[in-house]
Amino acid sequence: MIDVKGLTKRFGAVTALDNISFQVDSGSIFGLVGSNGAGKSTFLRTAAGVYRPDAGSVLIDGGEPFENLSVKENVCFISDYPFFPRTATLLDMADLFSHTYPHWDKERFSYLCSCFPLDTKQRILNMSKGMQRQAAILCALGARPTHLLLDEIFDGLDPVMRQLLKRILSGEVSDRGMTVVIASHNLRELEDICDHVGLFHRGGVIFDRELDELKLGISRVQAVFRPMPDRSVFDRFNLVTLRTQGSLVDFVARGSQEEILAKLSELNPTFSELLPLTLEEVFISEMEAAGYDIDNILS
Amino acid sequence: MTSTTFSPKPGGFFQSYRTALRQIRGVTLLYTAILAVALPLLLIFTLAQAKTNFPLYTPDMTQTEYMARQADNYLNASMPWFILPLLWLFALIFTVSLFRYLHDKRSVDLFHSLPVRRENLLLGRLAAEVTALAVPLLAMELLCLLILLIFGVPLQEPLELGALWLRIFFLLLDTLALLGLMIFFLVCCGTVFDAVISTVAFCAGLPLLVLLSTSYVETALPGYAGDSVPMFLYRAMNPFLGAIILSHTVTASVLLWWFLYAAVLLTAGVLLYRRRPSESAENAFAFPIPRVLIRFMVSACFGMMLGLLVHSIYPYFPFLFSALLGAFLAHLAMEAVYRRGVKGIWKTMRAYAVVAGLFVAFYLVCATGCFGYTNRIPAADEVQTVTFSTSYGTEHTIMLHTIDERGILTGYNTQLSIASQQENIEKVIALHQDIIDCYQTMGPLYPMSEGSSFEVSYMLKDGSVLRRRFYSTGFPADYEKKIQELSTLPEILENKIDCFLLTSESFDSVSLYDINEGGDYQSVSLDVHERAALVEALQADYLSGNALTNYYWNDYDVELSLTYQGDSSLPVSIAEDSALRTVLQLPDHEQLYLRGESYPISQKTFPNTLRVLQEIGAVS
Repeated sequence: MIDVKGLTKRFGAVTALDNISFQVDSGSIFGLVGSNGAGKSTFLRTAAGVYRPDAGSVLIDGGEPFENLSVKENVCFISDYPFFPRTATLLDMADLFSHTYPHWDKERFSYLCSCFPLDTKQRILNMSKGMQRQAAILCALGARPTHLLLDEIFDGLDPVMRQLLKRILSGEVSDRGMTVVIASHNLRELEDICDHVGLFHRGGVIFDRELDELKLGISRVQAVFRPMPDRSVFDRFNLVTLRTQGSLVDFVARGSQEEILAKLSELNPTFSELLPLTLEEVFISEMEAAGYDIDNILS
Repeated sequence: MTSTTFSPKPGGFFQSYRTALRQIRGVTLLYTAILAVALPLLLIFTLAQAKTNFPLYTPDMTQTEYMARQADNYLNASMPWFILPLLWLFALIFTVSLFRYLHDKRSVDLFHSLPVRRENLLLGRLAAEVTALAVPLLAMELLCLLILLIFGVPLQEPLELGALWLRIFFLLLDTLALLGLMIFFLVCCGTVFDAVISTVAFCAGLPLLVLLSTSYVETALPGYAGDSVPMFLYRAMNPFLGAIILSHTVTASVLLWWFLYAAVLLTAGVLLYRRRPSESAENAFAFPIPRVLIRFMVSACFGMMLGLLVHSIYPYFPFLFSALLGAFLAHLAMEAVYRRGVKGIWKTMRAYAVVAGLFVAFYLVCATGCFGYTNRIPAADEVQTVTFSTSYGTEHTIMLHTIDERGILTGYNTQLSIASQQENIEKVIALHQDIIDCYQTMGPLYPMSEGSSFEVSYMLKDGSVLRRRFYSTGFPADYEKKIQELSTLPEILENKIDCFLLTSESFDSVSLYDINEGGDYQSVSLDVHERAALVEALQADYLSGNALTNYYWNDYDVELSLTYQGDSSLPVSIAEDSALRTVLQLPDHEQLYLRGESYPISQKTFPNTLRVLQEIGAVS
């Protein structure tokens, strides 16, 4: 389990993580989403023991990762731009990991090498961006970590490799209870694989919730009213966003579908429709509610 | 089934060591190949050539001895001129290769997330670098010894194997100190560029700071005799300058110093690395130490440099202004380099204000006589001997030497005026006091020094020495007259002019060259009375002042040279309680010799000597 308590990380005058707290359960796949500069990568680096927190803590199975070997032996981190020494091949990197991580599994690594179309003797820096990511994934999974921290891991992978990666990660989670944290802007991919999602914004966590609960707990409503009632009547909904155009009302509200439908029927709309939200729509709605000026950015 | 190649590890040191060694194996092979050419291969050529040349050059020693000497010369000569630069070059290459990960965010992400302690990550890499540098060198040196044995050269005298291994050990320690310095700055800085700039500025700046500070104090502090700064200060923290010791004997204290220096730097590097924020990679600095240190050193150096330069060109311009201007410009330049621009540079003016404040304080301390340093003068009864010299009074030099059983000469030279009689010491102190009084009339801020110098050194009865040097800026009006009076005191002359050390036993013949008649030197043998009379006449001519005041080598009649049994060295006897013996620290139980001297004899300069030569019939 990853237990984050009041975690704060500053870079000079900039506070990248501002007193954030949440938990990631063991054996879950946790998606980190958020605007650029929200602190997702900073959180992953702090959880991986790269950064020392300025305040608060991030505990992995009860231990602080910074300079704590017993914790770091079970954690693998793949950054948004994985590093490889200039002349290193995949076999060289496997050699480094095998002599560093105590649970290195040679057979598992060989199996994964057979799944991904990589030349193990080619210099990794001569490979494409997507293949470099595959190399980093192979090394990390060969180390058999209990916690895998991935930053923008889908970036550069072709659709087939993305599916393969998702399948392997799901297998690792179901087979041996590995915990995965993925920071990504690719919400479509996260939606497929994550069971929990946390939304970061300006160094804080807006929410962390189960994905199903999240998707069921927020809905988009399109309704037509003749005549259009006063705007204040919509206050009965737990509104995230609200837009009106003529007699058409388009809003996103939190709550169960039944609850929203019940309240909507009280207003006698001429026409109404309840639409499920994609994760991307949830993200945009929540960000908008958090003060992210999306209209201004997109205009 | 899980298969693991993992073995127990103490924090990942061996893993880091192994990985680093693999990373630099290619360059290590290149380094080894170069060493193989420089040491065993060229040694083979040297020995083969020595074997061929032996009958042509050295019939007075055995072939084995000749080859051993040639091999010893080659191995020792290769160290300062080849091995050391090679070690420095590859130390730089290895260090940049192994430690640049500190300055790249991506590599920091990888290495700092691995389950390896930071100190082990650093020390493992350092150990790999030391292994890559030292093992090939030691192997090649051992191979050289094997080659010597194959050529039939025994590993004994004249081969100095002990000294050779000491020098190799010094090379490795000096390189380790360089590694320590580079790693310290690499840890403190956020980029390789800043680390390189900082290392170069430190190595060049520190000796320059000592040199300029000494020059400045000598100029600004009346009385300061600046050449007393030990060379240790210049070399102690700079492995490049420290290698100059290779031209001398490597001692245990030198080895100990470089070992401690390297150990302190590496310990500091490791301790700082443990606290080094990972996010400092690609930023300017992880710790402000180098920035503060280098900025201060460069500002201080350029400040003093500009101040002294302007003073030497135009002495009326206030030194402090030009020094502060130089420090300001250097401060801006360093900040611009470290900041990669001038944005926000004005925020660092507080740091400049500290440098400027130190400059002003340093200037005030020097220009007011450094808390009584300038005014300090001993009482006459505290002084055992006093010596003085002027920057233009160098026409008389006493050059004594001893000769040991192997024929090696040890020289004792002086151009000083020496006095030990109480009344003469008082006269020197009186002149010293006049100079101080003159400076005090110019106060409260003494002027910067320039012009000719007067240096006085008191050997006190408590064993200490008080040295002061003043410049003509602060000389009293009658200085020339007083220095002339002091210079012609009988005791001064007796300790300064070689003929006062001669006795009738110091020479047995004289050679004379008549400049008017030309021809060859005429040698004349003299009896003991004639020699005594000649010595007495020479001394009388100096004491009368004739030989001093009209001392022109192109205006004489006869050149007189003294010889002893055909040798130009003249044995002399100097009293046990002589001031000259004390000042020159002459050995008590060894025969002293004076280099044979020539005297330009004329009626005007040496009337007494000429009269004696005429009486004994040596000249007409």
